[in-house]
Amino acid sequence: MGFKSSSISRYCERLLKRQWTKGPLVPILTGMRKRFLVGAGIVLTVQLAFEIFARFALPEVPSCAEVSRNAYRFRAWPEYIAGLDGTENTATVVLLTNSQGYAGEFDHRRIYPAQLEELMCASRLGGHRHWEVLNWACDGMTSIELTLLAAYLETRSPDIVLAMTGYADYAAEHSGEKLLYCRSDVPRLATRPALLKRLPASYLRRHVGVEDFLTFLLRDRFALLRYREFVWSWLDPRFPGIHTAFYAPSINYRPWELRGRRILNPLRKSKLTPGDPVLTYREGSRQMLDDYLSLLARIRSRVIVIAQPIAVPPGDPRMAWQEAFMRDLRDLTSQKGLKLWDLSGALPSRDFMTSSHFLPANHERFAAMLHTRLSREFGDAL
Amino acid sequence: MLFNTYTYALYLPLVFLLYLALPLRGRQAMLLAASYVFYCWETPVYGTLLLISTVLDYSCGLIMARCVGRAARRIVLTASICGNLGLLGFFKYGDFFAGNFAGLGRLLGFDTHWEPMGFILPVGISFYTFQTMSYTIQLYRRQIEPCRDLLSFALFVSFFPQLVAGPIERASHLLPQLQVYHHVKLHDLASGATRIVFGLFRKMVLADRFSIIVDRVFANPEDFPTFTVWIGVLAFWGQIYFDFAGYADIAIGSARLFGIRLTENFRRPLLSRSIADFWARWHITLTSWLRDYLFNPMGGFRKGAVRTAAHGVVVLVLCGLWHGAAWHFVLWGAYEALLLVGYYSWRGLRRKLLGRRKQKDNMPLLIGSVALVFACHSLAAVFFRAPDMSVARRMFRCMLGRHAAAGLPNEWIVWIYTALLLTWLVIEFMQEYMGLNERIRRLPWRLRAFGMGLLIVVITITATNLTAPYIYFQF
Repeated sequence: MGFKSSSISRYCERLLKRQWTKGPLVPILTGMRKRFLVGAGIVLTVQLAFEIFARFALPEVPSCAEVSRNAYRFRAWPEYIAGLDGTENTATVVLLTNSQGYAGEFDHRRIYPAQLEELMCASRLGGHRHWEVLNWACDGMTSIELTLLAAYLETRSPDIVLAMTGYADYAAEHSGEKLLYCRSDVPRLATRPALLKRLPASYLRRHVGVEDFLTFLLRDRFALLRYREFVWSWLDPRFPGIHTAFYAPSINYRPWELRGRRILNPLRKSKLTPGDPVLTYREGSRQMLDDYLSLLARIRSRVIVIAQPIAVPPGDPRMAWQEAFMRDLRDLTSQKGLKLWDLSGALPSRDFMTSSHFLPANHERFAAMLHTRLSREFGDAL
Repeated sequence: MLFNTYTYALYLPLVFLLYLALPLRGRQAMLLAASYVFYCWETPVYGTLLLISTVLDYSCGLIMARCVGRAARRIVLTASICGNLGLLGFFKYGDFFAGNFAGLGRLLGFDTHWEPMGFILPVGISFYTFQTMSYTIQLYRRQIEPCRDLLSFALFVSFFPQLVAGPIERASHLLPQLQVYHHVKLHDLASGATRIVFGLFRKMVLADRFSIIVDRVFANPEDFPTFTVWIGVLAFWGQIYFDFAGYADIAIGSARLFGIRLTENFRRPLLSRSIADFWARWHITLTSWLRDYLFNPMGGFRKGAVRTAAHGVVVLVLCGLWHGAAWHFVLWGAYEALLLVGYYSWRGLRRKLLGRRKQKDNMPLLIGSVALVFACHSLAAVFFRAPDMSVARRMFRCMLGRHAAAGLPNEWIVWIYTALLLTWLVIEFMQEYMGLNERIRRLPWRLRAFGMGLLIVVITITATNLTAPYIYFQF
């Protein structure tokens, strides 16, 4: 077996005679067709010039302290991590949560993460003068983003990590979705080699496709690709030219939908309709939960997994999924040595807007409840 | 794999570099493998259908070559057509026909229980089926010699730039090109790359931006003022044109890199001066296929006015059905047929009254006829875009000013879309009547290269973040 070296060289000679001598490359290299080369050079130079311009012209991203400007709560990655390391006498809580903490229906000051921050600052919990609650809320295909955030937190050390979670985060319907379905640009994290290494193989198989990976990789590396949101944001009458460009880069930016008011109008009435939405916890869901909890277990901070409050009417099929989820959650958290707070039935269902979204009264209650529990749990240990 | 993805942006240069390095047989084998990878990227199982179609027509071709009599050749041709249409019918129209028969049965009082089979439509099946059928028909008519080389033939069926949404090539045009060694030329490279960039612009900047307003309007037409609903309908006409023409540009540009020239599929259809003119400019390879293999064999224009009109109706209704297995596509075809019959009747009447005098060209008449044809086709677009008949009805109600939100459009974006559409029309007008392309060609090459660089930047910063599939993929 094996090729004779002479036959390989003969093949190479034939190959060179066929194309390379008559094709485009040799004439280009010998300067016979300078025009083509110079033309391509001009095209590339224009790209490069705009890339440099985009890199230096884009303004700084506002920190999460300025969230009042972020009416939609869509966050770009830099905004997520701003404030993570804290400053002197400031302690940080990272709240990994889903649409319940994202609470796009209400002003950010009326939702529980902001209220929790207020309570913690007022009580000077652990003797810290200032507490910062980073609301890392993800809306949509949450487990994809939350798992990435958990992997990222392994390298950082906030004081407390609260991982709020519910069965819908691991919906089997999301198990085949790829990174591009996420609404924030958190998936850019998946393109960083150090973080990519830490992700479980099952996660990579489920959510990381070629196109998704390339999209986020290029968007992460080239400012010009992020520039389009910035350019379009100038057409937005509310915040021309600033952070709209950044807080939702991976969303298809639809100026059509931005008419100077929120996309989601606040809902006043409770809307508990059985069977809506249909996100099922079944085969495949446990694996998604397992991946997330495994990464949480590797974080060096104080991590508490919280089964988030829900309101499901009796007899609703969601109850069965919730029960299966709770069984898996208890089982897996004890396996991995994670602390679990079961708050799934802690709030009155009358103040729920949907089965998992709160009305303002429950936001207030929940903030107070978390504050009390944190004080009791950690007290002066912080 | 979609053309407007980063995956394709990596894939195409890779295939091109391999192509440069290989001898003819190696190129054919590599292109065939690349085409199957391209086609099976999302759903590998449908590669089997492509293979079946290839083997079927290759075998039919060889058998037909051995047949001496016309009758025997006709039997082989029938077998080929039945096989191809069988595949198409089963995967594309199975649910449609079964559902309608079941409905009819229930109407007549029979207990017909039917569950949809729920197959996902194999991408591009209508395109490659028609392409392979054209091979056997040309062979039957002795217009070409049978292809005895399976590799070349398989490549002809599956050549990736035009596999999923055309142009529908004839064997007489594409096969010989695939069987010779092409020396890749700088001119091919430059014009292929330019064509790809233009295609991306049409798809990602124009079509996908138009889709934003179109999706909104067709989802809830009652939420918008009448004017906005009309803009939504016109924008859909723009969207489908830019989407499909953008695809054709990228397909032609990609093939050009390999030294292969595909047939042009569009010739500025937005500027059609009449309904007949439109069908000579829009999706040219499909309309010429229907003309050569359906309309002309039925009798074409030779059998008198009434029968010609009847043939036209049949062909265009089938053309509608080719686009999709749903009644709104059939209605779209019927509407187009009515327009065409109306046009020919009017032309006949005019000739009787005024004789065969050639009408003088004048600008207002030209603009008026272009606008009229544009408006007629925009109305047809409602049938084309609406997911079902109830949405089409709602759209027409809102276009007529019933049930639509009152008042003038208050969103600036509507005006931007209107301006975008008009701008593009002006550009095409200048290309058609003022030699814009020639003028651009006469510009200094450095300036053109600079313009190309700017166009790429414009695509980068104005394209949507969507990786939207091409509309014609669903057909």
